[in-house]
Amino acid sequence: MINLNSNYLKWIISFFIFTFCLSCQNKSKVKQTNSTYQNLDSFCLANKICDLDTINALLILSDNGCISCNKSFISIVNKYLTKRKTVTLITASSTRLDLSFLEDKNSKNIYIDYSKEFEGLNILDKSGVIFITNSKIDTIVELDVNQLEKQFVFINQKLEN
Amino acid sequence: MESKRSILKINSTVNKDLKGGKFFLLLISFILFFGTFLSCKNKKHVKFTAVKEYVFKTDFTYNRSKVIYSKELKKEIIYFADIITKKKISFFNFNGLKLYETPLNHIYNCGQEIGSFEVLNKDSIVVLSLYSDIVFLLNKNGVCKKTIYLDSLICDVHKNSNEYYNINYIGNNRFLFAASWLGSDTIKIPQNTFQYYEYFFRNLTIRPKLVSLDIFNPDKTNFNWGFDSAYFKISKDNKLNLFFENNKYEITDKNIFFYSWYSNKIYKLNRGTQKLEKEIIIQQAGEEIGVKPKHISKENQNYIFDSINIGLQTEASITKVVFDKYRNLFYVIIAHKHDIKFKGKDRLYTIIVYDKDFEKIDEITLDKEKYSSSILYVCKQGILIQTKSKKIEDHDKPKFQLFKVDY
Repeated sequence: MINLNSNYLKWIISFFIFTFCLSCQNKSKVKQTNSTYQNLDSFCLANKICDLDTINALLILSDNGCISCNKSFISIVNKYLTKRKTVTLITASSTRLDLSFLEDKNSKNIYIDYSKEFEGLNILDKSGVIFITNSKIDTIVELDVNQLEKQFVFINQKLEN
Repeated sequence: MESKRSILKINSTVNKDLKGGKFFLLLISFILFFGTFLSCKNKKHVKFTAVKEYVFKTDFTYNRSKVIYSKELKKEIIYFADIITKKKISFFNFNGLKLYETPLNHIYNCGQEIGSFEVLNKDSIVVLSLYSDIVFLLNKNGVCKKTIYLDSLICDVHKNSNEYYNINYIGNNRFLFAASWLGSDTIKIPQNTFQYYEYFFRNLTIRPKLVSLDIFNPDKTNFNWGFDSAYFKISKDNKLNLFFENNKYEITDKNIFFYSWYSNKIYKLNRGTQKLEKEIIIQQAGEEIGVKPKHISKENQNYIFDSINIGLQTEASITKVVFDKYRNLFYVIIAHKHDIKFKGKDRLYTIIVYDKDFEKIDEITLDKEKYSSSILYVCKQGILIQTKSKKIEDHDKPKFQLFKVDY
Protein backbone atom coordinates (compact mmCIF):
# COMPACT_ATOMS: atom_id res chain seq x y z
CA MET A 1 0.00 0.00 0.00
CA ILE A 2 2.76 2.40 1.00
CA ASN A 3 4.79 1.41 -2.05
CA LEU A 4 1.86 1.95 -4.36
CA ASN A 5 1.28 5.43 -2.90
CA SER A 6 4.87 6.47 -3.36
CA ASN A 7 4.79 5.23 -6.97
CA TYR A 8 1.62 7.23 -7.56
CA LEU A 9 3.25 10.24 -5.98
CA LYS A 10 6.31 9.86 -8.24
CA TRP A 11 4.11 9.73 -11.34
CA ILE A 12 2.02 12.68 -10.24
CA ILE A 13 5.07 14.80 -9.40
CA SER A 14 6.77 13.85 -12.70
CA PHE A 15 3.60 14.69 -14.60
CA PHE A 16 3.35 18.10 -12.91
CA ILE A 17 7.02 18.89 -13.59
CA PHE A 18 6.61 17.86 -17.24
CA THR A 19 3.43 19.94 -17.65
CA PHE A 20 5.05 22.89 -15.90
CA CYS A 21 8.12 22.71 -18.21
CA LEU A 22 5.92 22.52 -21.28
CA SER A 23 3.82 25.45 -20.18
CA CYS A 24 6.96 27.50 -19.47
CA GLN A 25 8.33 26.66 -22.91
CA ASN A 26 5.17 27.69 -24.68
CA LYS A 27 4.84 30.86 -22.67
CA SER A 28 8.37 31.98 -23.52
CA LYS A 29 7.73 31.49 -27.26
CA VAL A 30 4.57 33.54 -27.17
CA LYS A 31 6.22 36.11 -24.98
CA GLN A 32 9.18 36.38 -27.38
CA THR A 33 7.00 37.00 -30.43
CA ASN A 34 4.93 39.54 -28.58
CA SER A 35 7.94 41.22 -27.12
CA THR A 36 9.65 41.46 -30.53
CA TYR A 37 6.65 43.32 -31.89
CA GLN A 38 6.35 45.42 -28.74
CA ASN A 39 10.06 46.27 -28.74
CA LEU A 40 9.90 47.25 -32.39
CA ASP A 41 6.76 49.26 -31.81
CA SER A 42 8.28 51.09 -28.82
CA PHE A 43 11.45 51.78 -30.83
CA CYS A 44 9.43 53.17 -33.76
CA LEU A 45 7.26 55.34 -31.53
CA ALA A 46 10.15 56.62 -29.40
CA ASN A 47 12.09 57.63 -32.51
CA LYS A 48 8.98 59.06 -34.21
CA ILE A 49 9.47 56.69 -37.16
CA CYS A 50 5.90 55.44 -37.49
CA ASP A 51 3.03 53.72 -35.79
CA LEU A 52 3.55 50.04 -36.64
CA ASP A 53 -0.21 49.41 -36.70
CA THR A 54 -0.52 51.68 -39.73
CA ILE A 55 2.09 50.03 -41.95
CA ASN A 56 2.50 46.73 -43.79
CA ALA A 57 6.23 46.53 -44.08
CA LEU A 58 9.41 47.92 -42.59
CA LEU A 59 12.37 47.78 -44.97
CA ILE A 60 15.76 47.70 -43.28
CA LEU A 61 18.83 48.74 -45.26
CA SER A 62 21.96 47.69 -43.40
CA ASP A 63 25.64 47.63 -44.30
CA ASN A 64 26.19 44.32 -42.49
CA GLY A 65 26.57 41.08 -44.41
CA CYS A 66 27.08 40.65 -48.13
CA ILE A 67 27.95 43.96 -49.83
CA SER A 68 26.51 43.08 -53.23
CA CYS A 69 23.23 41.87 -51.60
CA ASN A 70 22.87 45.25 -49.89
CA LYS A 71 23.65 47.08 -53.13
CA SER A 72 21.01 45.05 -54.98
CA PHE A 73 18.51 45.62 -52.19
CA ILE A 74 18.78 49.38 -52.78
CA SER A 75 16.74 48.96 -55.99
CA ILE A 76 13.84 47.49 -53.96
CA VAL A 77 14.21 50.17 -51.28
CA ASN A 78 14.22 52.86 -53.96
CA LYS A 79 11.09 51.41 -55.58
CA TYR A 80 9.05 51.46 -52.35
CA LEU A 81 10.61 54.54 -50.78
CA THR A 82 7.55 56.72 -51.13
CA LYS A 83 4.92 54.01 -51.06
CA ARG A 84 2.20 54.36 -48.46
CA LYS A 85 2.20 51.77 -45.67
CA THR A 86 5.89 51.07 -46.22
CA VAL A 87 8.64 52.60 -44.09
CA THR A 88 12.37 52.40 -44.78
CA LEU A 89 14.84 52.32 -41.94
CA ILE A 90 18.43 53.04 -42.94
CA THR A 91 20.90 51.57 -40.48
CA ALA A 92 23.72 51.53 -43.04
CA SER A 93 26.43 54.13 -42.84
CA SER A 94 26.95 56.36 -45.89
CA THR A 95 30.66 55.60 -45.52
CA ARG A 96 30.08 51.90 -46.23
CA LEU A 97 27.13 51.83 -48.59
CA ASP A 98 26.35 54.33 -51.36
CA LEU A 99 23.32 56.21 -50.04
CA SER A 100 23.43 58.93 -52.69
CA PHE A 101 20.02 57.72 -53.94
CA LEU A 102 18.54 59.39 -50.83
CA GLU A 103 19.89 62.83 -51.70
CA ASP A 104 16.94 64.02 -53.79
CA LYS A 105 14.36 62.14 -51.76
CA ASN A 106 12.38 63.93 -49.11
CA SER A 107 9.97 61.27 -47.95
CA LYS A 108 8.43 60.96 -44.52
CA ASN A 109 8.78 57.21 -44.94
CA ILE A 110 12.56 57.25 -44.56
CA TYR A 111 14.32 57.17 -41.20
CA ILE A 112 18.08 57.13 -40.69
CA ASP A 113 19.18 55.33 -37.53
CA TYR A 114 22.42 57.20 -36.74
CA SER A 115 22.54 55.88 -33.20
CA LYS A 116 22.38 52.23 -34.36
CA GLU A 117 19.62 51.61 -31.82
CA PHE A 118 17.80 49.22 -34.14
CA GLU A 119 20.73 46.77 -34.03
CA GLY A 120 20.25 46.54 -30.27
CA LEU A 121 16.76 45.09 -30.76
CA ASN A 122 18.35 41.95 -32.28
CA ILE A 123 15.58 41.45 -34.81
CA LEU A 124 17.65 41.68 -37.98
CA ASP A 125 21.43 41.66 -38.30
CA LYS A 126 21.49 42.33 -42.02
CA SER A 127 19.25 44.04 -44.57
CA GLY A 128 15.72 42.69 -44.89
CA VAL A 129 12.01 43.28 -44.54
CA ILE A 130 9.70 42.94 -41.56
CA PHE A 131 6.14 42.33 -42.77
CA ILE A 132 3.35 43.31 -40.39
CA THR A 133 -0.24 42.11 -40.40
CA ASN A 134 -2.92 42.89 -37.82
CA SER A 135 -0.52 44.34 -35.28
CA LYS A 136 1.70 41.29 -35.42
CA ILE A 137 4.93 40.40 -37.12
CA ASP A 138 3.88 38.33 -40.10
CA THR A 139 7.20 37.45 -41.72
CA ILE A 140 10.80 38.51 -41.33
CA VAL A 141 13.03 38.17 -44.40
CA GLU A 142 16.74 38.58 -43.78
CA LEU A 143 18.84 38.74 -46.95
CA ASP A 144 20.84 35.59 -47.54
CA VAL A 145 23.37 35.45 -50.36
CA ASN A 146 22.39 31.85 -51.17
CA GLN A 147 18.69 32.63 -51.62
CA LEU A 148 18.79 36.19 -52.81
CA GLU A 149 16.89 35.75 -56.07
CA LYS A 150 14.02 33.85 -54.40
CA GLN A 151 13.91 36.35 -51.56
CA PHE A 152 13.69 39.34 -53.93
CA VAL A 153 10.78 37.71 -55.82
CA PHE A 154 9.02 37.01 -52.50
CA ILE A 155 9.59 40.54 -51.16
CA ASN A 156 8.42 42.18 -54.38
CA GLN A 157 5.28 40.03 -54.54
CA LYS A 158 4.40 40.63 -50.91
CA LEU A 159 5.03 44.36 -51.15
CA GLU A 160 2.88 44.62 -54.30
CA ASN A 161 0.00 42.95 -52.48
CA MET B 1 102.61 46.72 14.41
CA GLU B 2 100.00 49.41 14.89
CA SER B 3 98.48 48.87 11.45
CA LYS B 4 98.42 45.09 11.90
CA ARG B 5 96.50 45.59 15.09
CA SER B 6 94.00 47.88 13.42
CA ILE B 7 93.49 45.38 10.60
CA LEU B 8 92.83 42.70 13.15
CA LYS B 9 90.42 45.03 14.87
CA ILE B 10 88.52 45.68 11.63
CA ASN B 11 88.45 41.98 10.83
CA SER B 12 87.06 41.18 14.21
CA THR B 13 84.36 43.85 13.81
CA VAL B 14 83.44 42.57 10.38
CA ASN B 15 83.32 39.03 11.65
CA LYS B 16 81.02 40.13 14.44
CA ASP B 17 78.69 41.87 11.97
CA LEU B 18 78.81 38.96 9.62
CA LYS B 19 77.65 36.70 12.39
CA GLY B 20 74.65 38.94 13.00
CA GLY B 21 73.99 39.25 9.26
CA LYS B 22 73.67 43.01 9.60
CA PHE B 23 76.43 43.76 7.17
CA PHE B 24 74.87 41.57 4.49
CA LEU B 25 71.47 43.09 5.02
CA LEU B 26 72.94 46.55 4.75
CA LEU B 27 74.83 45.64 1.58
CA ILE B 28 71.81 44.01 -0.09
CA SER B 29 69.59 46.94 0.85
CA PHE B 30 72.13 49.33 -0.60
CA ILE B 31 72.38 47.33 -3.87
CA LEU B 32 68.61 47.06 -4.15
CA PHE B 33 68.08 50.74 -3.44
CA PHE B 34 70.78 51.83 -5.86
CA GLY B 35 69.59 49.36 -8.53
CA THR B 36 65.98 50.51 -8.25
CA PHE B 37 67.11 54.14 -8.36
CA LEU B 38 69.17 53.46 -11.49
CA SER B 39 66.44 51.46 -13.25
CA CYS B 40 63.87 54.16 -12.51
CA LYS B 41 66.23 56.75 -13.88
CA ASN B 42 66.70 54.74 -17.12
CA LYS B 43 63.04 53.78 -17.65
CA LYS B 44 61.41 56.11 -20.11
CA HIS B 45 57.81 57.10 -19.93
CA VAL B 46 55.64 58.69 -22.54
CA LYS B 47 53.17 61.37 -21.62
CA PHE B 48 50.32 62.54 -23.86
CA THR B 49 49.15 66.02 -22.87
CA ALA B 50 45.92 67.31 -24.39
CA VAL B 51 46.77 70.68 -25.90
CA LYS B 52 44.10 71.80 -28.32
CA GLU B 53 40.95 70.61 -30.08
CA TYR B 54 40.37 71.02 -33.82
CA VAL B 55 36.97 70.90 -35.53
CA PHE B 56 36.64 70.33 -39.26
CA LYS B 57 33.24 71.07 -40.79
CA THR B 58 33.29 68.48 -43.54
CA ASP B 59 29.50 68.39 -44.13
CA PHE B 60 29.75 64.64 -44.61
CA THR B 61 30.76 61.55 -42.69
CA TYR B 62 34.23 60.69 -43.84
CA ASN B 63 35.74 57.26 -44.45
CA ARG B 64 39.27 58.31 -45.41
CA SER B 65 41.48 60.92 -43.79
CA LYS B 66 45.17 61.76 -43.56
CA VAL B 67 47.57 64.50 -42.51
CA ILE B 68 49.78 65.46 -45.47
CA TYR B 69 52.47 68.04 -46.13
CA SER B 70 51.45 70.69 -48.65
CA LYS B 71 54.43 71.80 -50.70
CA GLU B 72 52.40 74.75 -51.97
CA LEU B 73 51.48 76.02 -48.49
CA LYS B 74 54.71 74.73 -46.91
CA LYS B 75 52.79 73.30 -43.97
CA GLU B 76 50.73 70.33 -42.93
CA ILE B 77 47.10 70.08 -43.93
CA ILE B 78 44.47 67.38 -43.38
CA TYR B 79 42.02 65.87 -45.83
CA PHE B 80 38.72 64.07 -45.31
CA ALA B 81 37.07 62.00 -48.02
CA ASP B 82 33.91 60.02 -48.52
CA ILE B 83 34.67 57.65 -51.37
CA ILE B 84 31.33 55.84 -51.17
CA THR B 85 28.41 58.30 -51.06
CA LYS B 86 29.65 61.91 -51.45
CA LYS B 87 32.60 60.89 -53.65
CA LYS B 88 34.91 63.78 -52.88
CA ILE B 89 37.99 64.83 -50.92
CA SER B 90 37.94 68.01 -48.81
CA PHE B 91 41.24 69.60 -47.77
CA PHE B 92 41.49 71.68 -44.57
CA ASN B 93 44.16 73.68 -42.80
CA PHE B 94 44.54 73.35 -39.04
CA ASN B 95 42.46 76.43 -38.40
CA GLY B 96 39.51 74.36 -39.58
CA LEU B 97 39.27 76.29 -42.86
CA LYS B 98 38.30 74.30 -45.94
CA LEU B 99 40.94 74.98 -48.62
CA TYR B 100 39.49 73.19 -51.64
CA GLU B 101 37.58 70.09 -52.71
CA THR B 102 38.34 67.45 -55.33
CA PRO B 103 35.35 65.56 -56.76
CA LEU B 104 35.86 61.86 -57.46
CA ASN B 105 32.82 61.31 -59.68
CA HIS B 106 34.98 60.59 -62.73
CA ILE B 107 35.81 57.12 -61.41
CA TYR B 108 32.11 56.29 -60.89
CA ASN B 109 31.26 57.71 -64.29
CA CYS B 110 33.73 55.18 -65.70
CA GLY B 111 31.76 52.40 -64.03
CA GLN B 112 34.36 51.88 -61.32
CA GLU B 113 34.38 52.31 -57.54
CA ILE B 114 37.23 53.72 -55.47
CA GLY B 115 39.48 51.41 -53.50
CA SER B 116 42.23 53.73 -52.41
CA PHE B 117 43.97 56.97 -53.33
CA GLU B 118 47.17 58.89 -52.67
CA VAL B 119 47.52 62.66 -52.81
CA LEU B 120 50.87 63.46 -54.46
CA ASN B 121 50.36 67.22 -54.56
CA LYS B 122 47.53 69.71 -55.01
CA ASP B 123 47.11 68.90 -58.68
CA SER B 124 47.92 65.17 -58.73
CA ILE B 125 45.82 62.55 -57.02
CA VAL B 126 46.28 58.91 -57.98
CA VAL B 127 43.17 56.81 -57.48
CA LEU B 128 43.07 53.02 -57.54
CA SER B 129 39.68 51.64 -58.48
CA LEU B 130 38.18 49.05 -56.17
CA TYR B 131 39.40 45.46 -56.61
CA SER B 132 40.74 46.05 -60.09
CA ASP B 133 43.98 47.06 -61.83
CA ILE B 134 42.93 50.54 -63.02
CA VAL B 135 44.73 53.63 -61.76
CA PHE B 136 43.47 57.15 -62.54
CA LEU B 137 45.54 60.30 -62.26
CA LEU B 138 43.25 63.21 -61.38
CA ASN B 139 43.93 66.92 -61.16
CA LYS B 140 42.55 69.05 -58.32
CA ASN B 141 39.23 69.49 -60.16
CA GLY B 142 38.81 65.75 -60.44
CA VAL B 143 39.53 65.72 -64.17
CA CYS B 144 41.30 62.57 -65.31
CA LYS B 145 44.75 63.25 -66.78
CA LYS B 146 45.79 59.65 -67.31
CA THR B 147 44.45 56.10 -66.95
CA ILE B 148 46.85 53.25 -66.29
CA TYR B 149 46.12 49.52 -66.39
CA LEU B 150 48.50 47.81 -63.97
CA ASP B 151 48.27 44.41 -65.62
CA SER B 152 49.46 45.95 -68.88
CA LEU B 153 52.71 46.86 -67.08
CA ILE B 154 53.23 43.41 -65.58
CA CYS B 155 54.85 40.77 -67.72
CA ASP B 156 55.57 37.81 -65.46
CA VAL B 157 53.57 34.89 -64.02
CA HIS B 158 51.55 37.31 -61.86
CA LYS B 159 49.99 39.07 -64.85
CA ASN B 160 46.15 39.02 -64.72
CA SER B 161 46.23 37.09 -61.44
CA ASN B 162 45.60 39.82 -58.91
CA GLU B 163 43.24 42.54 -57.87
CA TYR B 164 44.73 45.56 -56.12
CA TYR B 165 43.18 47.47 -53.26
CA ASN B 166 45.71 49.85 -51.79
CA ILE B 167 48.10 52.38 -53.28
CA ASN B 168 50.94 54.26 -51.59
CA TYR B 169 53.69 56.42 -52.99
CA ILE B 170 57.05 55.16 -51.69
CA GLY B 171 59.43 57.64 -53.39
CA ASN B 172 61.68 57.50 -56.47
CA ASN B 173 58.57 57.54 -58.68
CA ARG B 174 57.54 54.17 -57.29
CA PHE B 175 54.12 53.13 -56.01
CA LEU B 176 53.36 50.27 -53.68
CA PHE B 177 50.19 48.25 -54.27
CA ALA B 178 48.54 45.69 -52.01
CA ALA B 179 47.72 42.69 -54.16
CA SER B 180 45.20 39.97 -53.60
CA TRP B 181 45.40 36.82 -55.69
CA LEU B 182 42.29 36.17 -57.76
CA GLY B 183 43.09 33.08 -59.75
CA SER B 184 45.16 31.95 -62.64
CA ASP B 185 44.26 31.58 -66.30
CA THR B 186 46.29 28.41 -66.51
CA ILE B 187 44.62 26.51 -63.66
CA LYS B 188 41.08 25.19 -64.07
CA ILE B 189 38.87 26.55 -61.29
CA PRO B 190 37.04 23.78 -59.36
CA GLN B 191 33.25 23.97 -59.56
CA ASN B 192 32.57 22.33 -56.20
CA THR B 193 32.34 25.00 -53.43
CA PHE B 194 34.67 23.31 -50.95
CA GLN B 195 37.23 22.40 -53.61
CA TYR B 196 37.08 25.97 -54.84
CA TYR B 197 37.71 27.31 -51.31
CA GLU B 198 40.62 24.91 -50.96
CA TYR B 199 42.08 26.02 -54.30
CA PHE B 200 41.49 29.71 -53.62
CA PHE B 201 42.45 30.11 -49.96
CA ARG B 202 45.48 27.79 -50.13
CA ASN B 203 46.80 29.88 -53.03
CA LEU B 204 45.93 33.13 -51.30
CA THR B 205 48.15 32.26 -48.33
CA ILE B 206 51.27 31.77 -50.42
CA ARG B 207 50.96 34.41 -53.15
CA PRO B 208 52.78 37.78 -52.88
CA LYS B 209 50.85 40.49 -51.09
CA LEU B 210 52.71 43.54 -52.35
CA VAL B 211 54.13 44.87 -55.58
CA SER B 212 56.00 48.08 -56.27
CA LEU B 213 56.57 49.73 -59.63
CA ASP B 214 56.94 53.03 -61.43
CA ILE B 215 53.55 53.48 -63.06
CA PHE B 216 54.34 56.64 -65.00
CA ASN B 217 57.64 55.50 -66.53
CA PRO B 218 57.08 51.76 -66.71
CA ASP B 219 60.18 49.71 -67.10
CA LYS B 220 58.91 46.18 -67.50
CA THR B 221 61.84 44.62 -65.73
CA ASN B 222 61.55 46.92 -62.78
CA PHE B 223 58.74 45.72 -60.57
CA ASN B 224 59.10 43.93 -57.25
CA TRP B 225 56.71 41.34 -55.92
CA GLY B 226 57.04 41.04 -52.16
CA PHE B 227 55.95 39.37 -48.97
CA ASP B 228 54.84 36.11 -50.49
CA SER B 229 53.47 33.43 -48.16
CA ALA B 230 52.34 36.15 -45.77
CA TYR B 231 49.41 34.15 -44.40
CA PHE B 232 51.48 30.99 -44.34
CA LYS B 233 53.67 32.85 -41.83
CA ILE B 234 50.69 34.27 -39.95
CA SER B 235 48.83 30.95 -39.76
CA LYS B 236 49.57 28.89 -36.66
CA ASP B 237 48.38 25.60 -38.18
CA ASN B 238 48.14 23.91 -41.54
CA LYS B 239 44.33 23.98 -41.69
CA LEU B 240 42.34 25.69 -44.40
CA ASN B 241 41.82 29.07 -42.78
CA LEU B 242 39.76 32.05 -43.80
CA PHE B 243 41.75 35.27 -43.43
CA PHE B 244 39.27 38.00 -44.15
CA GLU B 245 40.94 41.38 -44.24
CA ASN B 246 42.62 43.95 -46.41
CA ASN B 247 46.30 44.08 -45.60
CA LYS B 248 47.49 46.93 -43.50
CA TYR B 249 50.95 48.41 -43.31
CA GLU B 250 52.88 51.48 -42.23
CA ILE B 251 55.63 52.83 -44.44
CA THR B 252 58.77 54.49 -43.09
CA ASP B 253 61.91 55.76 -44.86
CA LYS B 254 63.48 52.32 -45.13
CA ASN B 255 60.82 49.80 -44.24
CA ILE B 256 57.28 48.60 -44.55
CA PHE B 257 55.69 47.35 -41.33
CA PHE B 258 53.00 44.83 -42.27
CA TYR B 259 50.40 43.82 -39.65
CA SER B 260 47.25 41.78 -39.50
CA TRP B 261 44.24 41.27 -37.25
CA TYR B 262 45.16 37.58 -37.21
CA SER B 263 48.71 37.93 -35.90
CA ASN B 264 50.56 39.03 -32.78
CA LYS B 265 53.53 40.01 -34.94
CA ILE B 266 54.54 42.99 -37.02
CA TYR B 267 56.45 41.99 -40.14
CA LYS B 268 59.30 44.34 -40.97
CA LEU B 269 59.93 44.35 -44.73
CA ASN B 270 62.56 46.10 -46.78
CA ARG B 271 60.96 49.09 -48.50
CA GLY B 272 62.91 48.58 -51.71
CA THR B 273 62.57 44.84 -52.15
CA GLN B 274 59.48 44.12 -49.99
CA LYS B 275 61.34 41.12 -48.56
CA LEU B 276 60.88 40.11 -44.93
CA GLU B 277 63.67 41.32 -42.61
CA LYS B 278 62.32 40.69 -39.14
CA GLU B 279 59.28 39.55 -37.19
CA ILE B 280 58.45 41.67 -34.14
CA ILE B 281 56.30 40.08 -31.44
CA ILE B 282 53.78 42.37 -29.78
CA GLN B 283 52.74 41.47 -26.27
CA GLN B 284 49.99 42.78 -24.09
CA ALA B 285 49.76 41.59 -20.48
CA GLY B 286 46.95 39.12 -19.91
CA GLU B 287 45.74 39.05 -23.50
CA GLU B 288 46.46 36.82 -26.44
CA ILE B 289 46.82 39.09 -29.45
CA GLY B 290 45.54 37.93 -32.83
CA VAL B 291 42.09 36.89 -33.97
CA LYS B 292 41.77 33.13 -34.45
CA PRO B 293 40.86 32.55 -38.10
CA LYS B 294 37.84 30.41 -38.99
CA HIS B 295 38.67 26.97 -40.32
CA ILE B 296 36.82 26.17 -43.53
CA SER B 297 35.33 22.70 -43.57
CA LYS B 298 32.82 20.81 -45.68
CA GLU B 299 30.31 21.26 -42.87
CA ASN B 300 30.58 25.03 -42.50
CA GLN B 301 31.44 25.99 -46.10
CA ASN B 302 28.03 27.53 -46.79
CA TYR B 303 27.85 29.79 -43.76
CA ILE B 304 31.52 30.42 -42.97
CA PHE B 305 31.17 34.11 -43.90
CA ASP B 306 28.19 34.64 -41.56
CA SER B 307 30.19 34.53 -38.34
CA ILE B 308 33.38 36.10 -39.66
CA ASN B 309 32.95 39.41 -37.84
CA ILE B 310 32.45 37.94 -34.37
CA GLY B 311 36.16 37.22 -33.86
CA LEU B 312 37.11 40.65 -35.11
CA GLN B 313 34.65 42.27 -32.73
CA THR B 314 35.60 40.27 -29.66
CA GLU B 315 39.24 39.09 -29.78
CA ALA B 316 42.30 41.24 -29.04
CA SER B 317 44.21 42.36 -32.12
CA ILE B 318 46.64 44.86 -33.59
CA THR B 319 44.42 47.42 -35.27
CA LYS B 320 46.93 50.03 -36.34
CA VAL B 321 50.65 50.77 -36.46
CA VAL B 322 51.67 54.40 -36.84
CA PHE B 323 55.22 55.75 -37.19
CA ASP B 324 55.91 59.18 -35.69
CA LYS B 325 58.69 60.57 -37.88
CA TYR B 326 59.04 63.70 -35.74
CA ARG B 327 59.77 61.81 -32.53
CA ASN B 328 61.03 58.47 -33.94
CA LEU B 329 58.33 56.49 -32.15
CA PHE B 330 55.94 53.74 -33.16
CA TYR B 331 52.39 53.68 -31.81
CA VAL B 332 50.90 50.19 -31.93
CA ILE B 333 47.19 50.28 -31.23
CA ILE B 334 45.72 47.19 -29.61
CA ALA B 335 41.99 46.53 -29.48
CA HIS B 336 41.32 44.64 -26.26
CA LYS B 337 39.07 41.64 -25.88
CA HIS B 338 35.45 42.73 -26.01
CA ASP B 339 32.44 40.85 -24.71
CA ILE B 340 29.90 40.21 -27.48
CA LYS B 341 27.22 41.32 -24.99
CA PHE B 342 28.62 44.85 -25.35
CA LYS B 343 28.53 44.79 -29.15
CA GLY B 344 28.29 48.35 -30.41
CA LYS B 345 29.51 49.79 -27.09
CA ASP B 346 32.86 51.56 -26.69
CA ARG B 347 35.76 49.15 -26.97
CA LEU B 348 38.95 49.55 -24.94
CA TYR B 349 42.14 50.32 -26.88
CA THR B 350 45.72 50.64 -25.67
CA ILE B 351 48.47 52.50 -27.48
CA ILE B 352 51.80 50.73 -26.96
CA VAL B 353 54.65 53.13 -27.63
CA TYR B 354 57.92 51.75 -29.02
CA ASP B 355 61.15 53.45 -29.98
CA LYS B 356 62.50 53.23 -33.55
CA ASP B 357 64.12 49.83 -32.78
CA PHE B 358 60.83 48.49 -31.43
CA GLU B 359 61.97 48.58 -27.80
CA LYS B 360 58.82 49.05 -25.74
CA ILE B 361 58.70 52.37 -23.91
CA ASP B 362 55.24 52.69 -22.46
CA GLU B 363 51.55 51.83 -22.73
CA ILE B 364 48.83 54.44 -22.78
CA THR B 365 45.12 53.76 -22.44
CA LEU B 366 42.87 56.68 -23.24
CA ASP B 367 39.33 57.27 -22.05
CA LYS B 368 37.37 54.88 -24.29
CA GLU B 369 34.20 56.96 -24.10
CA LYS B 370 35.98 60.17 -25.08
CA TYR B 371 38.53 59.17 -27.71
CA SER B 372 38.42 57.01 -30.79
CA SER B 373 41.90 55.58 -30.22
CA SER B 374 41.94 53.76 -33.53
CA ILE B 375 41.91 57.06 -35.46
CA LEU B 376 45.34 58.53 -34.80
CA TYR B 377 47.45 60.80 -37.01
CA VAL B 378 50.91 62.21 -36.52
CA CYS B 379 51.63 65.89 -37.06
CA LYS B 380 54.54 68.16 -36.25
CA GLN B 381 52.99 69.40 -33.00
CA GLY B 382 52.11 65.96 -31.69
CA ILE B 383 49.42 63.38 -32.37
CA LEU B 384 45.81 63.89 -33.33
CA ILE B 385 43.18 61.55 -31.94
CA GLN B 386 39.53 61.80 -32.92
CA THR B 387 37.14 62.81 -30.16
CA LYS B 388 33.93 60.81 -29.98
CA SER B 389 30.55 62.46 -29.98
CA LYS B 390 27.18 60.93 -29.26
CA LYS B 391 25.38 63.85 -30.90
CA ILE B 392 23.87 63.02 -34.30
CA GLU B 393 24.55 66.52 -35.60
CA ASP B 394 28.31 66.06 -35.01
CA HIS B 395 28.68 63.25 -37.58
CA ASP B 396 29.76 65.74 -40.25
CA LYS B 397 31.99 67.81 -37.95
CA PRO B 398 34.86 65.56 -36.87
CA LYS B 399 36.77 66.79 -33.83
CA PHE B 400 40.38 65.93 -33.09
CA GLN B 401 42.33 66.36 -29.88
CA LEU B 402 45.96 67.37 -30.33
CA PHE B 403 48.22 65.66 -27.79
CA LYS B 404 51.75 66.87 -27.12
CA VAL B 405 54.04 63.84 -26.79
CA ASP B 406 56.74 63.98 -24.11
CA TYR B 407 59.15 61.16 -23.32
